[in-house]
Amino acid sequence: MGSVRVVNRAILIILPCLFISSCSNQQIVDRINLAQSAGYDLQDKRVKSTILVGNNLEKDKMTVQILETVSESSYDMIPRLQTKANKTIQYGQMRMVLFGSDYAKKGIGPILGSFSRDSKITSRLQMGVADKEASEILAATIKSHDSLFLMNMIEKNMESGNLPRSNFHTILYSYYGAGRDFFLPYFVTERGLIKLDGIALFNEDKWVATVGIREVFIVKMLTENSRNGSFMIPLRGSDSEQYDYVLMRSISSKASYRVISSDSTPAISISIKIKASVKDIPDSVRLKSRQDVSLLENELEETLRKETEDFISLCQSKKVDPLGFGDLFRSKTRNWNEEQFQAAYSTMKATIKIDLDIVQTGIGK
Amino acid sequence: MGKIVSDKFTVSPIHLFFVVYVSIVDVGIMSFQREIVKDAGTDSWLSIVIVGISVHVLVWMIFRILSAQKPENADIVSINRSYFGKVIGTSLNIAIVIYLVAGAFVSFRSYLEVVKIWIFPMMNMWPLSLLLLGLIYYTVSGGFQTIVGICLWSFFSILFFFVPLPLLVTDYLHPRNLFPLFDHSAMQILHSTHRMAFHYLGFETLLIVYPFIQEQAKSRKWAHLGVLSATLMYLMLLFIAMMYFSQGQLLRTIWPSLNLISMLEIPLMQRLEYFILSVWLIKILANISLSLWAACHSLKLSFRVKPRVSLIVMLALFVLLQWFIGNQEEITRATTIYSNIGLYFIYIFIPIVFVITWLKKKVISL
Repeated sequence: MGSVRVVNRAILIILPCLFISSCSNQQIVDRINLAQSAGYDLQDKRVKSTILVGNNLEKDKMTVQILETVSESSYDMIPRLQTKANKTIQYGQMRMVLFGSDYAKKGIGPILGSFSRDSKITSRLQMGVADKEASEILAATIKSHDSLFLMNMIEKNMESGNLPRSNFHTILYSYYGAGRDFFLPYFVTERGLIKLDGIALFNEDKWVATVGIREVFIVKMLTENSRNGSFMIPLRGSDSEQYDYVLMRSISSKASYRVISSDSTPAISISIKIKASVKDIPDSVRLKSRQDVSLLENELEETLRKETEDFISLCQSKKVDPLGFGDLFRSKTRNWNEEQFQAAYSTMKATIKIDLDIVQTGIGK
Repeated sequence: MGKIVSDKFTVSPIHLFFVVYVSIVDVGIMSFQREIVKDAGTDSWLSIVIVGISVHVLVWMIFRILSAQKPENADIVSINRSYFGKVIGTSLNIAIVIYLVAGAFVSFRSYLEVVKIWIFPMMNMWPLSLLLLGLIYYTVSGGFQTIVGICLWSFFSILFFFVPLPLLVTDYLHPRNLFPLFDHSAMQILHSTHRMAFHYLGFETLLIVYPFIQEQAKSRKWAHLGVLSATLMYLMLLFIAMMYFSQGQLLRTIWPSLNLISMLEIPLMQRLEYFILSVWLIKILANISLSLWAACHSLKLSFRVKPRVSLIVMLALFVLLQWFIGNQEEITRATTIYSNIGLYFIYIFIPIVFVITWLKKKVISL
């Protein structure tokens, strides 16, 4: 019947379409330049953009090429860089963006906005801030033969270090969300080597404060399960002149927040339960009985509480909210008003309760 | 009219579930969250519940209308004729046909736009749209049973991707975003309900496919189940999007569901959303084919136009309209016009027909 004719006709229509559409827009991986890491710096009020392009010329061996350009704005980075490359530059695989310190202080909002509208940019992109020039740090990664050196560094430190989890999605989450600010990993160079040296706290889109890598543990503990994070704690030694140190390694932790009052002087209480192991302890501390352990626990709790308070008052004085206190109050109060909260933020009282449990202290006595 | 449709063309009652579900859930599922959160914020789930319940009532009315017809197996074409007379009835039927074609076109155009923006920003869309039109022609000319088959597959293909979604993004969900509850005025919730109602349009094809269902009395529960699953799907995707995005971020995201998927990474597939958008083609095909089939069938019933002829005319119209409705802004405008007409159709026209049916019954029983 007619159905055979219909099928024939359909095939006649569909086949050419398949041929036409498969040939347009072809991008073969070894004929393009994949921009995998990028950096933005300010240079005399102009923007210097840097990208790292990875080339897999031989198997298991990657050569990293660095391209730079200076322009009036960050937007024409790709077309300008294209004039310096022999292959088409594609940024669909971009996984790391680093901002120079001047650029981060001036505000990274334009980049966040333009990236969030671009479907080629993945939500798992990582971002960071450099102590000086982003291009300098990117250039220092060339000898590692890894164009994603910084991204890998960040991700490994989130898994097994003190760095709290974040990526482009969580950055946008805090940037656009009410009552929250984001933070980015902070890099420095030390004798030609790159070091992750803490986090940079942002107010809106401007870098305003920095927290060292040791204190970053506090941020991790306050925002998520701090598993694998470690924290060095000073103990008053027996001769009280010199400090002894204990290295505490977090096994798991959970922070819960409660709003106590949400009027003109907001107050919250934070209670943190943490399980930790203490592997290396100085000779002056003896852990023989249960009593000794709980004495040490109390001392660690007290230090952590003190440091947490310090961190929160730093946030208040710099008017940044990386922990999302504003969001917490928003979820508990009807007709929440961001401006009102901002005004009251510096007077907010935080009561911190830490419940620390030492669970294992190594295999030797 | 009123004649029993041969078994060769009918489907069993359970298939009505897929037809109703597929006719409700369309491209809008990628983007509805932003539209309703804009007005009602944390309370926007309320608007889905309200629209869901109202659609259940409308489906109940539709079944009441259809089962009360004296020569059985009536559809909206014959009902319009017998209730409103030849002139008004026929004009209503023409309006319904235009409405169905417009709905199919809006789905068609919105899908192509999403593909263009997400996957091929540079590509000329003509080859793809011709390919899609060819597929539509093939499906619709296959008849009602073919369309129901496509509906079934599209239901499962979508389920396969969206049900595991909450488990895969758990780490990124913030339940705090759902609070405080009841923080919005009745007016704000009404605005968001109005926006949400757009995304339920389509189930009214029930008025046309009814004679093609075997054992219609049994099919009621499947139709209601279809509406219920659509509501649950919408609620699930709303809750996930609200917990995954902060509100300010959600309002800046045009296709929240696609952005959500872009966070997932599986081996060999770094950009899962490209794959899902491609599979989505089956869903859209089912959607468009169902509306076009309903339009062709109504034309056949009212003017004895051969479905093949009318189908080709409609597809040619699609090509023509694609010239005129080319950019995002025009698509949005066309969608809004279509949706507003649709709201009048389901919330005013169906209740009117229902009341007439009810009055007629009273008169006869007196």
